[in-house]
Amino acid sequence: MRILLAEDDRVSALIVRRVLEGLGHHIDSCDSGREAWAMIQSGSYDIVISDWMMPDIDGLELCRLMREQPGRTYTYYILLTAKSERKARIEALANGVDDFLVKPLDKEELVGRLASAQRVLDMQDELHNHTGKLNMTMGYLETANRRFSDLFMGLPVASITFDTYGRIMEWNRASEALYQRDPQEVWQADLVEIIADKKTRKWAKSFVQRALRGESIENEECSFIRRDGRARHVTYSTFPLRNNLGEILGAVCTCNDLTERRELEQKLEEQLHVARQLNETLELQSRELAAANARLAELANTDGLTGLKNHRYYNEVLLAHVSEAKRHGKPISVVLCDIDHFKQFNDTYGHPAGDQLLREFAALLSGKVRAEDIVARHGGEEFVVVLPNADQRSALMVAEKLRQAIEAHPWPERPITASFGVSTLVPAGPGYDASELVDLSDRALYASKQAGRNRVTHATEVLDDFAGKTAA
Amino acid sequence: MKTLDMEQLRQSCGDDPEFWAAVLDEFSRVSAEGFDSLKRAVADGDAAGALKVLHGIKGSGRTVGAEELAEMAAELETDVAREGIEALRRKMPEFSAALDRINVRSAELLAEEAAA
Repeated sequence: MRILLAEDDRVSALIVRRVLEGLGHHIDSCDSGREAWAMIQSGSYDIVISDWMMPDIDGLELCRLMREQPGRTYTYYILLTAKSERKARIEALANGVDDFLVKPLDKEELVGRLASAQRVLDMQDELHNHTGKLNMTMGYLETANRRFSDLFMGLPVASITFDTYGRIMEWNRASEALYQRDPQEVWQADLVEIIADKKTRKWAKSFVQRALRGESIENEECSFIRRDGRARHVTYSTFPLRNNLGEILGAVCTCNDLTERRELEQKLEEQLHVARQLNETLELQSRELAAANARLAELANTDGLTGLKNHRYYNEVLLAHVSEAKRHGKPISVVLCDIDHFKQFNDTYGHPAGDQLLREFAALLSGKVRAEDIVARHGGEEFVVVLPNADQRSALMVAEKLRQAIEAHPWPERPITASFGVSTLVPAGPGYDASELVDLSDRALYASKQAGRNRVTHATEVLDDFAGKTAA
Repeated sequence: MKTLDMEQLRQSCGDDPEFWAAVLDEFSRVSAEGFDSLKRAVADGDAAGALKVLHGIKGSGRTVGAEELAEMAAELETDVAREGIEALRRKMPEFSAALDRINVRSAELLAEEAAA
């Protein structure tokens, strides 16, 4: 150890120096208080051994000065003295003296006192080290605490801690935003009063009590009216905070604000409702449009005067029926009929009567055929009847039946007759197409007209005749 | 009253004769210088200076076991403080004789130890 010895008695100084050097210590010495004070200020000593009575600064004053030095490591102070009064010693102790060495000197006592000083200084060292470690640990704790605090304060979810009385301890920034209250305002406030309103207070009380009984609670929903008058929908979760003995110190509560989500859901629901209504309207309009289209199509395919299918329609239908007949190997027949002397009738009875005749004629034809047969107005006073599945014989029978019906009908103005031309597509015969069939029927009709009207002619008769004529 | 109390010398310095020699030698110088100072104080009538020297001789004398000289210094301290420098002047011959005795005793002791 480094020891400063301040003693103006040279004999005592010599003894102390010899003894201490014998123990392996380093000794600096001087014989006045002033000199000792200068050495203390400039050097670092583990122990100062000083005489009480010295010129200028005495031992007690020197100790007091040394103790008043700020920030110095501990120096053990032994006062050498012949004084044995209790009061003087108490004063010395009060001024920072650690121990006394009574004159006349006792070598063994000196050695013993030094050992005691060494123990105290070792403990002092140990304490210093512990303090260093403690300060370091405190530093770590402070850093960890600050990090936790920053983390807690910055959490995007409103988070609150409360004590065993349900009083708010910590309140992060998200909580400030959600509840519109700053930390100073809510510090130590009753959590129930802050998060609940009249309607939800009962629930909030139960929530806090359950948390403080050690229950972990997840996502319990509660709404409240905030101080700005806006309703907030919040889900609350909580878990207890415990000390190292497992005792509950309070709880952490997180509050998830669902208001915006709820509002969005509400808007979405409203928009969906509007969309559903629009959809229903669209469907209705679509159905109406389809019906209108169907009516239009019907009108487009219908002869305005007679209500029969028109020329355009039966052309399309005939094409389809002819294709089907060919595909299935079945016959089909086309009957054309023309009202005899219709122009003359018109000239005689006028157009309105002519139109009426056409309407009545059409109704008569329609009433005499099968449901699958198609009756249409071919144009003017000419009509067509398509007979699916009808061979030549059947077709001729139908045409004859129609001719007789027309002839027998009680027409209001005068008797009416019609001429008929029939053609048939048979599986084994020539593969006529639709327009060829109509053309053949037309030729047969022409032949009926030529032969004196009011009769039925099949194209097969005309073909032979036509072929004969052509050959001739 | 002993000229030199060996028990005190052993208490202060242990059993090492070499250490005794060094300490007694230093005491001899200190006391001789002190005596010179006392003579000057007497000549100058300086009671305060004399008290300071007497106090020093008392302390170091007690440390080495120079019982007779130390107690004489102690008595003189009281006397000078009470009566002034005259008290010292009267006792100077006695004090000188006591100083000689301790010096002789020291020399004998060291010689004995050297012989042993």
